Amino acid sequence: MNCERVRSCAGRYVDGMAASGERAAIEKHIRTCRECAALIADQELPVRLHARLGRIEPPAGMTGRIVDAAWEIDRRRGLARAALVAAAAALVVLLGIGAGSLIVRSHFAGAREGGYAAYTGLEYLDVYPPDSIGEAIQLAAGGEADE
Amino acid sequence: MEDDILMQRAAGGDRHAFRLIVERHGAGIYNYFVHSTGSIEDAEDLTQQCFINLYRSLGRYRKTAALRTFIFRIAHNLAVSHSRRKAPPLSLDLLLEQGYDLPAQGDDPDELAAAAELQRAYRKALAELPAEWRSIVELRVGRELVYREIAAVTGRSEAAVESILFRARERLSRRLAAFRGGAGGGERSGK
Repeated sequence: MNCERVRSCAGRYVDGMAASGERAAIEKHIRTCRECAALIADQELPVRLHARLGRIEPPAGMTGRIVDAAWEIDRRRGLARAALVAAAAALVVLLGIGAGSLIVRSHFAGAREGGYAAYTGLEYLDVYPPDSIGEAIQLAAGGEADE
Repeated sequence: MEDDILMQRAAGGDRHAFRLIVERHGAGIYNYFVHSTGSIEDAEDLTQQCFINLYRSLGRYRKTAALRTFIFRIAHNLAVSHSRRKAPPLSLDLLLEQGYDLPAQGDDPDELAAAAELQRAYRKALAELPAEWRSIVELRVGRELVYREIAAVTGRSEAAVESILFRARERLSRRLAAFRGGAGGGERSGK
Protein backbone atom coordinates (compact mmCIF):
# COMPACT_ATOMS: atom_id res chain seq x y z
CA MET A 1 0.00 0.00 0.00
CA ASN A 2 1.33 3.43 -0.94
CA CYS A 3 0.89 6.79 0.82
CA GLU A 4 -1.89 7.92 -1.51
CA ARG A 5 -3.87 4.77 -0.79
CA VAL A 6 -3.34 5.22 2.97
CA ARG A 7 -4.67 8.75 2.71
CA SER A 8 -7.75 7.59 0.82
CA CYS A 9 -8.71 5.08 3.50
CA ALA A 10 -7.33 6.75 6.65
CA GLY A 11 -10.80 7.89 7.72
CA ARG A 12 -12.29 4.41 7.36
CA TYR A 13 -9.32 3.00 9.28
CA VAL A 14 -9.77 5.42 12.19
CA ASP A 15 -13.52 4.79 12.22
CA GLY A 16 -12.93 1.04 12.41
CA MET A 17 -14.64 0.52 9.06
CA ALA A 18 -11.69 -0.56 6.96
CA ALA A 19 -11.70 -4.12 5.67
CA SER A 20 -9.36 -6.41 7.59
CA GLY A 21 -6.88 -6.65 4.69
CA GLU A 22 -6.89 -2.89 4.26
CA ARG A 23 -6.36 -2.44 7.99
CA ALA A 24 -3.39 -4.77 8.08
CA ALA A 25 -1.84 -3.06 5.04
CA ILE A 26 -2.19 0.39 6.63
CA GLU A 27 -0.65 -0.79 9.91
CA LYS A 28 2.27 -2.32 8.04
CA HIS A 29 2.77 0.89 6.01
CA ILE A 30 2.70 3.33 8.95
CA ARG A 31 5.37 1.35 10.78
CA THR A 32 7.84 2.65 8.23
CA CYS A 33 6.22 5.86 6.94
CA ARG A 34 6.30 8.74 9.45
CA GLU A 35 4.18 11.00 7.21
CA CYS A 36 1.34 8.50 7.07
CA ALA A 37 1.69 7.66 10.76
CA ALA A 38 1.23 11.38 11.48
CA LEU A 39 -1.74 11.50 9.12
CA ILE A 40 -3.43 8.69 11.03
CA ALA A 41 -2.61 10.43 14.32
CA ASP A 42 -4.22 13.61 12.96
CA GLN A 43 -7.37 11.65 12.22
CA GLU A 44 -7.37 9.94 15.61
CA LEU A 45 -6.85 13.04 17.78
CA PRO A 46 -10.29 14.63 17.18
CA VAL A 47 -11.95 11.26 17.75
CA ARG A 48 -10.30 10.97 21.17
CA LEU A 49 -11.08 14.58 22.10
CA HIS A 50 -14.65 14.37 20.86
CA ALA A 51 -15.24 11.21 22.86
CA ARG A 52 -14.12 13.14 25.95
CA LEU A 53 -16.90 15.70 25.49
CA GLY A 54 -18.84 13.15 27.49
CA ARG A 55 -22.51 12.56 28.09
CA ILE A 56 -24.57 15.42 29.43
CA GLU A 57 -27.62 14.57 31.48
CA PRO A 58 -30.77 16.17 30.02
CA PRO A 59 -32.63 18.63 32.28
CA ALA A 60 -34.99 17.00 34.77
CA GLY A 61 -38.53 16.60 33.44
CA MET A 62 -37.56 17.05 29.79
CA THR A 63 -39.47 13.94 28.67
CA GLY A 64 -42.63 15.13 30.44
CA ARG A 65 -42.41 18.55 28.81
CA ILE A 66 -41.95 17.02 25.36
CA VAL A 67 -44.89 14.66 25.81
CA ASP A 68 -47.09 17.49 27.16
CA ALA A 69 -46.22 19.58 24.10
CA ALA A 70 -47.26 16.67 21.87
CA TRP A 71 -50.59 16.32 23.72
CA GLU A 72 -51.13 20.05 23.27
CA ILE A 73 -50.92 19.46 19.52
CA ASP A 74 -53.62 16.78 19.89
CA ARG A 75 -55.78 19.16 21.90
CA ARG A 76 -55.45 21.91 19.29
CA ARG A 77 -56.14 19.42 16.51
CA GLY A 78 -59.30 18.33 18.39
CA LEU A 79 -60.47 21.93 18.80
CA ALA A 80 -59.80 22.67 15.14
CA ARG A 81 -61.70 19.53 14.13
CA ALA A 82 -64.66 20.46 16.35
CA ALA A 83 -64.73 23.97 14.92
CA LEU A 84 -64.67 22.53 11.41
CA VAL A 85 -67.58 20.17 12.18
CA ALA A 86 -69.60 23.03 13.72
CA ALA A 87 -68.93 25.22 10.68
CA ALA A 88 -69.95 22.39 8.35
CA ALA A 89 -73.15 21.81 10.34
CA ALA A 90 -73.99 25.51 10.25
CA LEU A 91 -73.43 25.53 6.49
CA VAL A 92 -75.75 22.54 6.03
CA VAL A 93 -78.47 24.26 8.10
CA LEU A 94 -78.11 27.49 6.11
CA LEU A 95 -78.23 25.58 2.83
CA GLY A 96 -81.33 23.74 4.08
CA ILE A 97 -83.07 26.99 4.98
CA GLY A 98 -82.15 28.50 1.61
CA ALA A 99 -83.36 25.46 -0.31
CA GLY A 100 -86.60 25.30 1.71
CA SER A 101 -87.26 28.97 1.04
CA LEU A 102 -86.79 28.44 -2.69
CA ILE A 103 -89.17 25.48 -2.69
CA VAL A 104 -91.89 27.41 -0.81
CA ARG A 105 -91.50 30.41 -3.11
CA SER A 106 -91.75 28.31 -6.24
CA HIS A 107 -94.79 26.50 -4.73
CA PHE A 108 -96.68 29.74 -4.09
CA ALA A 109 -95.55 31.24 -7.38
CA GLY A 110 -97.61 28.51 -9.12
CA ALA A 111 -100.56 29.31 -6.84
CA ARG A 112 -100.45 33.04 -7.73
CA GLU A 113 -100.51 32.31 -11.45
CA GLY A 114 -103.53 29.95 -11.36
CA GLY A 115 -105.36 31.63 -8.46
CA TYR A 116 -105.27 30.46 -4.86
CA ALA A 117 -108.76 28.96 -4.99
CA ALA A 118 -107.96 26.80 -7.97
CA TYR A 119 -104.77 25.70 -6.28
CA THR A 120 -106.09 25.06 -2.81
CA GLY A 121 -109.84 24.55 -3.29
CA LEU A 122 -110.56 27.42 -0.92
CA GLU A 123 -112.50 30.07 -2.90
CA TYR A 124 -112.20 32.79 -0.27
CA LEU A 125 -108.43 32.85 -0.83
CA ASP A 126 -109.02 34.57 -4.16
CA VAL A 127 -110.73 37.41 -2.26
CA TYR A 128 -108.57 37.27 0.83
CA PRO A 129 -105.03 36.09 -0.12
CA PRO A 130 -103.03 33.99 2.37
CA ASP A 131 -101.86 35.83 5.45
CA SER A 132 -104.30 38.74 4.86
CA ILE A 133 -106.59 40.07 7.60
CA GLY A 134 -109.61 39.07 5.50
CA GLU A 135 -108.37 35.49 5.50
CA ALA A 136 -108.06 35.57 9.24
CA ILE A 137 -111.63 36.88 9.64
CA GLN A 138 -112.93 34.33 7.19
CA LEU A 139 -111.23 31.55 9.11
CA ALA A 140 -112.62 32.89 12.40
CA ALA A 141 -116.12 33.00 10.90
CA GLY A 142 -115.87 29.36 9.81
CA GLY A 143 -114.65 29.96 6.28
CA GLU A 144 -113.77 26.27 5.93
CA ALA A 145 -117.44 25.81 5.05
CA ASP A 146 -116.36 26.72 1.50
CA GLU A 147 -114.95 23.27 1.19
CA MET B 1 -40.51 -3.42 22.80
CA GLU B 2 -39.04 -2.60 19.36
CA ASP B 3 -39.05 0.95 18.04
CA ASP B 4 -41.16 0.07 15.02
CA ILE B 5 -43.89 -1.42 17.15
CA LEU B 6 -43.81 1.63 19.40
CA MET B 7 -44.11 3.88 16.33
CA GLN B 8 -47.09 1.88 15.01
CA ARG B 9 -48.79 2.12 18.39
CA ALA B 10 -48.01 5.82 18.73
CA ALA B 11 -49.41 6.42 15.23
CA GLY B 12 -52.56 4.63 16.39
CA GLY B 13 -52.95 7.12 19.24
CA ASP B 14 -51.14 5.20 22.01
CA ARG B 15 -49.67 8.00 24.11
CA HIS B 16 -47.70 5.65 26.33
CA ALA B 17 -45.88 4.32 23.24
CA PHE B 18 -44.85 7.85 22.24
CA ARG B 19 -43.64 8.54 25.77
CA LEU B 20 -41.48 5.39 25.60
CA ILE B 21 -39.94 6.59 22.32
CA VAL B 22 -39.05 9.93 23.92
CA GLU B 23 -37.62 8.19 26.99
CA ARG B 24 -35.54 5.86 24.82
CA HIS B 25 -34.10 8.44 22.41
CA GLY B 26 -34.44 11.75 24.29
CA ALA B 27 -31.06 11.78 26.01
CA GLY B 28 -29.17 10.81 22.84
CA ILE B 29 -30.89 13.50 20.81
CA TYR B 30 -30.30 16.06 23.58
CA ASN B 31 -26.57 15.23 23.64
CA TYR B 32 -26.46 15.37 19.85
CA PHE B 33 -27.83 18.93 19.96
CA VAL B 34 -25.48 20.01 22.77
CA HIS B 35 -22.41 18.84 20.86
CA SER B 36 -23.49 19.67 17.30
CA THR B 37 -24.77 23.17 18.08
CA GLY B 38 -22.74 23.80 21.24
CA SER B 39 -25.74 25.57 22.71
CA ILE B 40 -26.81 23.99 25.95
CA GLU B 41 -29.39 26.77 26.21
CA ASP B 42 -31.11 25.70 22.99
CA ALA B 43 -30.55 21.94 23.24
CA GLU B 44 -33.78 21.23 25.14
CA ASP B 45 -35.90 23.39 22.82
CA LEU B 46 -34.35 21.71 19.80
CA THR B 47 -34.91 18.26 21.33
CA GLN B 48 -38.55 19.15 21.98
CA GLN B 49 -38.96 20.47 18.42
CA CYS B 50 -37.38 17.29 17.08
CA PHE B 51 -39.87 15.04 18.88
CA ILE B 52 -42.80 17.32 18.00
CA ASN B 53 -41.80 17.01 14.34
CA LEU B 54 -41.59 13.24 14.84
CA TYR B 55 -45.05 13.24 16.46
CA ARG B 56 -46.49 15.18 13.53
CA SER B 57 -45.01 12.69 11.08
CA LEU B 58 -46.08 9.52 12.92
CA GLY B 59 -48.53 8.69 10.13
CA ARG B 60 -45.86 9.09 7.47
CA TYR B 61 -43.24 6.86 9.12
CA ARG B 62 -42.44 3.78 7.08
CA LYS B 63 -40.10 1.05 8.19
CA THR B 64 -37.57 1.78 5.46
CA ALA B 65 -34.91 2.82 7.99
CA ALA B 66 -34.34 2.43 11.70
CA LEU B 67 -36.28 4.87 13.89
CA ARG B 68 -32.96 6.18 15.21
CA THR B 69 -31.97 7.20 11.67
CA PHE B 70 -35.41 8.74 11.11
CA ILE B 71 -35.14 10.83 14.30
CA PHE B 72 -31.55 11.88 13.59
CA ARG B 73 -32.62 13.03 10.11
CA ILE B 74 -35.08 15.42 11.78
CA ALA B 75 -32.46 16.43 14.35
CA HIS B 76 -29.75 17.03 11.72
CA ASN B 77 -32.02 19.35 9.73
CA LEU B 78 -32.93 21.25 12.91
CA ALA B 79 -29.28 21.54 13.99
CA VAL B 80 -28.10 22.80 10.61
CA SER B 81 -30.91 25.36 10.29
CA HIS B 82 -30.36 26.43 13.92
CA SER B 83 -26.70 27.09 13.18
CA ARG B 84 -27.66 29.13 10.11
CA ARG B 85 -29.93 31.32 12.23
CA LYS B 86 -27.59 31.69 15.17
CA ALA B 87 -24.04 32.99 15.00
CA PRO B 88 -21.62 32.37 16.58
CA PRO B 89 -22.67 28.73 16.55
CA LEU B 90 -21.42 27.52 19.91
CA SER B 91 -21.88 29.16 23.28
CA LEU B 92 -18.60 27.69 24.46
CA ASP B 93 -18.23 29.95 27.43
CA LEU B 94 -21.59 28.85 28.76
CA LEU B 95 -20.63 25.20 28.32
CA LEU B 96 -17.41 25.77 30.21
CA GLU B 97 -19.09 27.81 32.93
CA GLN B 98 -21.58 25.03 33.49
CA GLY B 99 -18.85 22.51 34.10
CA TYR B 100 -19.03 20.59 30.86
CA ASP B 101 -15.29 20.72 30.34
CA LEU B 102 -14.37 17.29 31.59
CA PRO B 103 -11.35 17.15 33.86
CA ALA B 104 -8.32 15.42 32.49
CA GLN B 105 -7.13 12.25 34.18
CA GLY B 106 -3.86 11.99 36.04
CA ASP B 107 -2.04 13.63 38.97
CA ASP B 108 0.38 16.06 37.35
CA PRO B 109 -1.17 19.57 37.61
CA ASP B 110 0.70 20.76 34.52
CA GLU B 111 -0.52 17.82 32.48
CA LEU B 112 -4.05 18.32 33.76
CA ALA B 113 -3.98 21.99 32.83
CA ALA B 114 -2.57 21.22 29.38
CA ALA B 115 -5.20 18.55 28.79
CA ALA B 116 -7.99 20.89 29.85
CA GLU B 117 -6.60 23.58 27.57
CA LEU B 118 -6.46 21.11 24.69
CA GLN B 119 -10.07 20.14 25.32
CA ARG B 120 -11.12 23.82 25.27
CA ALA B 121 -9.19 24.35 22.06
CA TYR B 122 -10.95 21.33 20.57
CA ARG B 123 -14.36 22.79 21.44
CA LYS B 124 -13.37 26.07 19.84
CA ALA B 125 -12.07 24.34 16.71
CA LEU B 126 -15.27 22.26 16.55
CA ALA B 127 -17.32 25.46 16.79
CA GLU B 128 -15.54 26.83 13.75
CA LEU B 129 -16.45 23.91 11.52
CA PRO B 130 -19.38 24.29 9.10
CA ALA B 131 -22.63 23.21 10.78
CA GLU B 132 -23.09 20.15 8.59
CA TRP B 133 -19.55 18.92 9.25
CA ARG B 134 -20.02 19.39 12.99
CA SER B 135 -23.24 17.43 12.85
CA ILE B 136 -21.56 14.61 10.90
CA VAL B 137 -18.64 14.46 13.36
CA GLU B 138 -21.09 14.20 16.26
CA LEU B 139 -23.20 11.59 14.46
CA ARG B 140 -20.10 9.45 13.85
CA VAL B 141 -18.03 9.94 16.99
CA GLY B 142 -20.63 10.97 19.56
CA ARG B 143 -23.65 8.93 18.41
CA GLU B 144 -21.65 6.14 16.76
CA LEU B 145 -23.67 5.98 13.57
CA VAL B 146 -22.01 4.13 10.70
CA TYR B 147 -21.41 5.80 7.32
CA ARG B 148 -24.55 4.23 5.81
CA GLU B 149 -26.71 5.64 8.60
CA ILE B 150 -25.09 9.08 8.41
CA ALA B 151 -25.66 9.07 4.64
CA ALA B 152 -29.35 8.31 5.26
CA VAL B 153 -29.55 11.07 7.88
CA THR B 154 -27.84 13.77 5.84
CA GLY B 155 -28.93 12.80 2.34
CA ARG B 156 -25.29 12.52 1.27
CA SER B 157 -23.59 9.52 -0.29
CA GLU B 158 -21.45 7.28 1.93
CA ALA B 159 -18.37 8.43 0.02
CA ALA B 160 -19.27 12.06 0.69
CA VAL B 161 -19.76 11.33 4.39
CA GLU B 162 -16.37 9.63 4.56
CA SER B 163 -14.75 12.56 2.76
CA ILE B 164 -16.39 15.18 5.03
CA LEU B 165 -15.30 13.27 8.14
CA PHE B 166 -11.74 13.07 6.86
CA ARG B 167 -11.58 16.78 6.01
CA ALA B 168 -13.29 17.81 9.26
CA ARG B 169 -10.81 15.82 11.37
CA GLU B 170 -7.92 17.10 9.31
CA ARG B 171 -9.04 20.69 9.91
CA LEU B 172 -9.61 20.05 13.63
CA SER B 173 -6.12 18.58 13.99
CA ARG B 174 -4.62 21.52 12.13
CA ARG B 175 -6.30 23.90 14.59
CA LEU B 176 -4.78 21.93 17.47
CA ALA B 177 -1.28 21.84 16.03
CA ALA B 178 0.03 24.18 18.75
CA PHE B 179 -0.76 21.56 21.39
CA ARG B 180 1.15 18.79 19.75
CA GLY B 181 4.64 19.59 21.05
CA GLY B 182 7.17 17.47 19.32
CA ALA B 183 4.58 15.28 17.72
CA GLY B 184 4.77 17.18 14.44
CA GLY B 185 2.91 20.11 12.90
CA GLY B 186 -0.73 20.15 11.93
CA GLU B 187 -0.24 21.58 8.43
CA ARG B 188 0.15 18.33 6.65
CA SER B 189 -1.01 17.79 3.14
CA GLY B 190 -1.69 14.54 1.41
CA LYS B 191 0.75 13.09 -0.94
